[in-house]
Amino acid sequence: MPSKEKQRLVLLQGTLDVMILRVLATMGPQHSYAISTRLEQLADQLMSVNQGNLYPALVRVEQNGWISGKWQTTDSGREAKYYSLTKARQEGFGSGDGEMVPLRGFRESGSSGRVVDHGPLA
Amino acid sequence: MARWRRWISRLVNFLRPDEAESHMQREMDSHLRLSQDEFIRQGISENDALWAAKRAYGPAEQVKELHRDERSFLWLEQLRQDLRHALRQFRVQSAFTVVTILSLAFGIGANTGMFSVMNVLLMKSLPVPKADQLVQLDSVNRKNEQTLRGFSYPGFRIMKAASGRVLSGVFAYSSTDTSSSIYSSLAKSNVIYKGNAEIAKGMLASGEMYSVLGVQPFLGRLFVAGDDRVKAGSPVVVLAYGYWRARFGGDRGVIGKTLVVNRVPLTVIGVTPKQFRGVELDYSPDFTVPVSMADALKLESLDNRNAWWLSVLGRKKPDLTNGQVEAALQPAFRESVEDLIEATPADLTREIRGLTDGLVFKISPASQGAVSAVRDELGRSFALLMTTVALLLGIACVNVANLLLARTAAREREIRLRMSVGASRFRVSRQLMTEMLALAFTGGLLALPCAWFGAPLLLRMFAADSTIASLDAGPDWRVFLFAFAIALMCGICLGLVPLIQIREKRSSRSKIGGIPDGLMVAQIALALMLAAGAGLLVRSFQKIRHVDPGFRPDGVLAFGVTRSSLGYTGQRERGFYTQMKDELASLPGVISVSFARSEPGSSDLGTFVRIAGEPPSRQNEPISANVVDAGYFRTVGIDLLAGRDFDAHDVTGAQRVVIVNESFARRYFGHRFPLGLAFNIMGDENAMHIVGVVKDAKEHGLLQPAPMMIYLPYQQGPGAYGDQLTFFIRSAGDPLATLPAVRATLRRLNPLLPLSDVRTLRLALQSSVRREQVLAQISTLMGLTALALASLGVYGVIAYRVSCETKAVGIRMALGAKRSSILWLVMHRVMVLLTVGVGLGLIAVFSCAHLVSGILFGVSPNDPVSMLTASAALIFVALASAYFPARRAAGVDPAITLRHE
Repeated sequence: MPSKEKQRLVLLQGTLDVMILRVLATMGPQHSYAISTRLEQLADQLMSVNQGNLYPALVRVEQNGWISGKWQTTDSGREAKYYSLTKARQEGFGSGDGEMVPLRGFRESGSSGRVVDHGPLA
Repeated sequence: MARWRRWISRLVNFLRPDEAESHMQREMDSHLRLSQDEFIRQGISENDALWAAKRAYGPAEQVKELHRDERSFLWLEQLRQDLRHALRQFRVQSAFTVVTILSLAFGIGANTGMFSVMNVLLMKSLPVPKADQLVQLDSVNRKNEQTLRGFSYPGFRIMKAASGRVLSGVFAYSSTDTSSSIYSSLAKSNVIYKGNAEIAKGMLASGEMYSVLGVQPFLGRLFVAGDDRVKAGSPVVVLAYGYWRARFGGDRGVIGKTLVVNRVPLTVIGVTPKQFRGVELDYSPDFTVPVSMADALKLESLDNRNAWWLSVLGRKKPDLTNGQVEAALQPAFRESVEDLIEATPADLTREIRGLTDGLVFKISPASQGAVSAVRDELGRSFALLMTTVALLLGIACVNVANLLLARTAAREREIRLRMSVGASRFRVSRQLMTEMLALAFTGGLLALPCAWFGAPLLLRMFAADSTIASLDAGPDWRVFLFAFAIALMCGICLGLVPLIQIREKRSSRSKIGGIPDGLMVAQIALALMLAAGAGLLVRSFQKIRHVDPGFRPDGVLAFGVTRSSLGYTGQRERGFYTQMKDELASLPGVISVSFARSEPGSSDLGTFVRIAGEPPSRQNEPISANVVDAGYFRTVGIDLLAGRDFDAHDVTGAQRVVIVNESFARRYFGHRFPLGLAFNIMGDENAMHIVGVVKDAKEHGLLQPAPMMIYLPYQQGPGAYGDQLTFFIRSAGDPLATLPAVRATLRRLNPLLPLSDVRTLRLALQSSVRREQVLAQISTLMGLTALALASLGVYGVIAYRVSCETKAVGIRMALGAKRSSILWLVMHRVMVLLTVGVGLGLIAVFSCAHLVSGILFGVSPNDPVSMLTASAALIFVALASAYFPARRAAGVDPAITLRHE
């Protein structure tokens, strides 16, 4: 694999993790396809991440204990692994009024969908 | 917390890859299906939808790789892959694998074995707590830098009293290494238990020994300081574990029973633990007696200031340097010396002052037990051997490298293929290195049992009859570490070979240079060093064998008698010996019988002489002495050059007589005819008259020049200086054949008299140079192995070269080259390389030769004969091994090789 792409992916690691947590916090339990679709919307093609690259990030976040997955059946009858935030992580996200305590600043910027990095983890 | 969770998860996934893999597959499939469904919903056909889903997903294999990295440890996974690949390769190239592993096992095993021996000789400490605090107290004569071992008992008391500030404890014991051991020897004690008499090795020790060392009793109790308070106040004895099991069958009931040691009854109070084998490397006592029994056992008087028969060890207080301890105890030492001089009779004061003037107190580290000349000697021998096996390992590795070259060349296609599909150079290199390390470590593992068994064998070869042979040379952590390090080093060095090879541009130049040639030169140089070393040691030993010992050892049987166990004294004792002589002389085949204080070749008695009119400087030279019976010279075969032997007239009360050797006569009397001349020996006011002159004998061993020697007649001697006598029986045939008759005769004369140390003088002489003999044998073996390995190596390299160049050769021959010129082409290169190799080897030998000059006898380290022989042998062997593949090259049929393209 050419090394430049690898570099890019490494840079994205931290950001991807946060975005996954953010998506799960706002949308509730999702399977990986839904998460990747949502991320694509947010990124608006500025980050052209292959859907598959989401998967290692999911594994990492799961291993860290921030999300947990469970195999369930979708509405259409397919099986999928649904991920949800663990209790620990939920507390980090504050009470359920929707306002997030950012772990790393990432704000939706409405229409443009730009990703802005606000600084280190609290 | 999260980090640990992750770490454990990753480890689990590494250990159960199949499960992880199937999870991953399941999720990927699920994702793809959902994605596909979405595309179908958008109106795309099923197949196209699947394809679109996959495209959106991205390259699957890449994802899998990323996933593996995340879920487990990438480097571990890659390592596992590398090892699997390596194992496949090994099975395919099994010959290479086997040869490599065996070569490495052999080389690593030899090195580890040597290291084990070095470890136990030089590194393992005494099995007592904090052994690094132990030190030995001695003195050194500043004038000649000679160490004077030991103290007298009064001297020890003085040192002990003064040592409280710097030593937490100090004890004394009867050493076999002190300058006055002649007077005190428990080494052949007669021990009677329940009526049975057997010889055993004993030791005297002061009461604090066990507590200073920190040795706990295995059974019963050990000495306490109080056991020393009163002379003969504690008639007790402590047994060694081995002796307790061997002689007493491990019977716990022996505690409290009585042993009669040299006619003194002693009560058994305890047994020391199994690992404690005394404080001296080559003397492991069977039993230990308190030093306060010295008088009772007729070994030495505790008040005698002249006999420095005790070795003293102490335990330093923590954080003190040896220098500090020395400085602190210097005054006490001077005090003990003054004490000695004070107690000396006036006429000897001058001698004693001369001896003690330059004496200075000295501390030596003793964490391995007492300082030992034997340990140093053996250590030197084994250091030499370690160098030799290291060289052998070098040669073995070069051979493996040769094999590697051929193998890597064969795998070149595979390697280039892997690199073309994206494997980085680093990855491929790592794969090759992993293979080599796997082989090296396997070799190392196989080497360990070799070392396990080989090391004790080696020790026994060198020191068959001493305690050293039974030292525990088994592996400890140092040995494992050493084996691991050597295996790692070999693996890395060898692993670099294919790496360098794939870096070099592929070429089959006929120019001289490059790795194979370099390897061959290295191999030749190493082999030459080994062969030359072997040559030197063999010649050295040959010279030793031809040394004239000064006596005739063949046909003489010798055995020891412990005087104190006889129970006779004075006239009765002499009468008994006369009776023994007569009875033994009448046995069939016996030519003559005699006895003496020490056997020829191992004189340990010394004195000083005073000759009227001689300057005092001459009179401070130590003279060796022996106390012998009439007929001694005839029996052991020392030639009488002038005058007569002792005879029946030389009894107590008659004129004092003495026989001297030629060196003595020459030194003190020059050209004067010595017979009839007289002199005194130290401590004896009666002058002695020379009645005979004998030929010089090598009384300090074959390797030392013959000392000046005087022989005193037993009949006139005041008690023969010591407890041991050696009897000599010269027979017409094999001396051992007379042994049963001898035993029977002695049993008849005195049933309680056990024979000790039965030996023939020939064997005794041979074992005195055992070390040199074994060195010569082992180095010959290694030299031959080196030649064999080198010849294999040369064969391999030339064969490899030739196979690379068949095309070139074919073309040459097609163009008209003759077979002989092809042959010459190959051999020419070999000869050039050989010359370079031999040259390098000789340079190496010459520059290192001075290191072994201490071990050589009669041979200079640059001995041309050895060098020439070694070089010639090596050149011959190498040319012969190169000849066969060369001839094959010349026999190449150009039609075949060219068609092969």
